[in-house]
Amino acid sequence: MTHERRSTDGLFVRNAVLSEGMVIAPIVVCCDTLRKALLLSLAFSCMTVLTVLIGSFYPRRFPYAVRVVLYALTSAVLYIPTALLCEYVSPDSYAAVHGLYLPLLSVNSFIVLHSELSFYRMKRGPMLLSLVFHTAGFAFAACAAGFVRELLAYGSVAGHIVDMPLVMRMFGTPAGGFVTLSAMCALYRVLTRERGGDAP
Amino acid sequence: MILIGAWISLLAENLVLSGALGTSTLMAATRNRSSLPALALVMTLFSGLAALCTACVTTLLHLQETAYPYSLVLPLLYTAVVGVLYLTVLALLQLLLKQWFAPYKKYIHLAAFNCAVMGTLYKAFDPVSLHRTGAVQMLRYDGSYLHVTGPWSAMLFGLHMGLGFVLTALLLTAVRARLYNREVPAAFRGFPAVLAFLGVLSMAVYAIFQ
Repeated sequence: MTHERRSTDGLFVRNAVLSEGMVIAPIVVCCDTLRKALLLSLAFSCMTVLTVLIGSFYPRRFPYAVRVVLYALTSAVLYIPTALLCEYVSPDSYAAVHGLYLPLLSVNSFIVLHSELSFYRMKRGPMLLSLVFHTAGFAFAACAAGFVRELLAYGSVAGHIVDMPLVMRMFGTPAGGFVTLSAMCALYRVLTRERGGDAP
Repeated sequence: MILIGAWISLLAENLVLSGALGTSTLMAATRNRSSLPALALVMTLFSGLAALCTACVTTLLHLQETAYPYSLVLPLLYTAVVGVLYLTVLALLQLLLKQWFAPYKKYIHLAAFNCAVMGTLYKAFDPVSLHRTGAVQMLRYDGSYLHVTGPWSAMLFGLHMGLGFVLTALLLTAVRARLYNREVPAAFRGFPAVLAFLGVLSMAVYAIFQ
């Protein structure tokens, strides 16, 4: 059965995190609370949408390698206002995620890989629409992971204490991030009836 | 004892297990056993060279103690260093080994701009910390500490991170066939099983070393 691609697929049907395993590191490590997940989603959206949009104006006559470097440099420039915006929006959450994973978003798979393989093969209008839905898909996966991990690790939702009979601190660590994302991917497969790969 | 200490530190300071950095690259690296040595070699060399070049540039420009918020510009510098290194390596290989190089070109693309290489630089030089201290990163080797304070220690740190990535790739390659086996429930088969496996490894490393 073939599935015709639509611009809205990035939100759920072809979710970048759950279906294609892209941009996993920030979710595994940073998204242990809903607030951090929201902040990370904001930073990811700003940097990715603007970088891919600006990158679409770079001349195609440049070799692929040069274009990729330009995309990464553009994203690193956009990181500066994005970081300042994140600090302004939520100083506490920003202090928790700023060190490693916020600047690393400048070399995320959307920018250095997916832009050439997918986005730049579309016309600019549909590309922008698809990009918005893909970033919304990332935000959905990040917030779902943040919600579940915060509930299980700290017994709270967005900082508000919930009456949980048991909390497991492990879910606040990267190991808990891997396990949570694994369970989310499996659930996603059940919901979308996607099948696992065969033995290599 | 030095060898055991080095192995322990490869696990304790592992990019993938402690920071999930380069997980997508890891999946790609373990997809094909025959390509793993080439990719592992390129990744390790890139991490080491990138750390060495970045240390040289930051030392030359006296950027070691750049304060926040000016330090927000440093990721741009690191990206530029990796970009120049990437283009230089590509150009040199294309020039010197034109015929031999073609099959390996994709590994250079895959190994250069990824979270593992950039993450190594951010871990080594801590570019955007709000409260910087003198020695920015410490690494345990058999009880002694290695501080990333100069180019050579930075290169050693980069090579160490690259080797840690290779170690995780080898561990995953060893069990990959089982994680993709038909006996694994369809929902968990493949990618979710790999994540669960990395989670268990990460949990073990966390329990032992934290």
